Amino acid sequence: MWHMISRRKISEEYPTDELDSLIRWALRERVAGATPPPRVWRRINERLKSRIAVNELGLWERFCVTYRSVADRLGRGNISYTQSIPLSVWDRVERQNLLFVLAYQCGMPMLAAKGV
Amino acid sequence: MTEQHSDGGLVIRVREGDLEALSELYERYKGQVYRTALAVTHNRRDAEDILQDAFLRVYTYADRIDETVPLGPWLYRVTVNLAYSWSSRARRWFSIFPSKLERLVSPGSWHPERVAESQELRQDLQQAIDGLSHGQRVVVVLHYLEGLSLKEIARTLDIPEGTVKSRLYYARDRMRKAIQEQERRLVPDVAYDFT
Repeated sequence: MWHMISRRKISEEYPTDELDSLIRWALRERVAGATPPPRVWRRINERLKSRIAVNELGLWERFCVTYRSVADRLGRGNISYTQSIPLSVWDRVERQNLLFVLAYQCGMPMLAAKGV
Repeated sequence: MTEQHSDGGLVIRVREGDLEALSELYERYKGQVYRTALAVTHNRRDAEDILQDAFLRVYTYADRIDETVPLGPWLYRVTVNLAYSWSSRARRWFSIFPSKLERLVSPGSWHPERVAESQELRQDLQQAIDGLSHGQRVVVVLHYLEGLSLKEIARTLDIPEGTVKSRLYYARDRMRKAIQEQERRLVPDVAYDFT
């Protein structure tokens, strides 16, 4: 039993297993009954949710800029973000922009969320 | 019955931004991370911060985690690295107040003499652990508290097994001396002088 170990049991030479037991006892005492409080997970969750929100906002802004640039380049004027680009003009879009727009045209999570 | 997901499966989901998967990993490993951090830092608030940072790292670096192996060793490594940052910060602020506080916590129900001895021994051992270098303390915690073999510790910390052995040797030597010192204090010289 850990708590019953006392100096009386310790010889001057300290057998290995007894010293090991003492170290284990001291470490278990150090963490006895310790469990992380629920606030730790709450803080992690809050931090990550705000990080995700910032990332999504960044993506949304990038999407708007890219889509406007594509629309201007295609000479289509007042284009809606939800309006699909005709297949015939896809090959005129720069590859980087094409992939970006395509990703959003397929999934459109931000468009749906913003009710565009 | 709740379905038990593998670490790898959960890590893959975390890469896609799945917070529920992260929560499942958190539930699985929070005890290990918190206990290790607490044993190394000897401070609950710091252990909480380390736990929080460790899981923020799981999320941030999920794409660098090998999903084919259990997450435990990776988390041990992150925990001890974070604890190292803590100890470099905390060294400047080291104070004896926690030790004094601990003196006030008594087990209560034993014989007063033994309680005093036990408390003093506990105190000395805790101080001896605090006095170990970070590297020695980590090895001691992983070996004696977490039950990792020397080989596992070497793999986890990415250091040679010989280094683990030597750190453990010096740590044990220091602990042994701390106990002997305490015993010398408790048994006054005059006790041997009654011929």
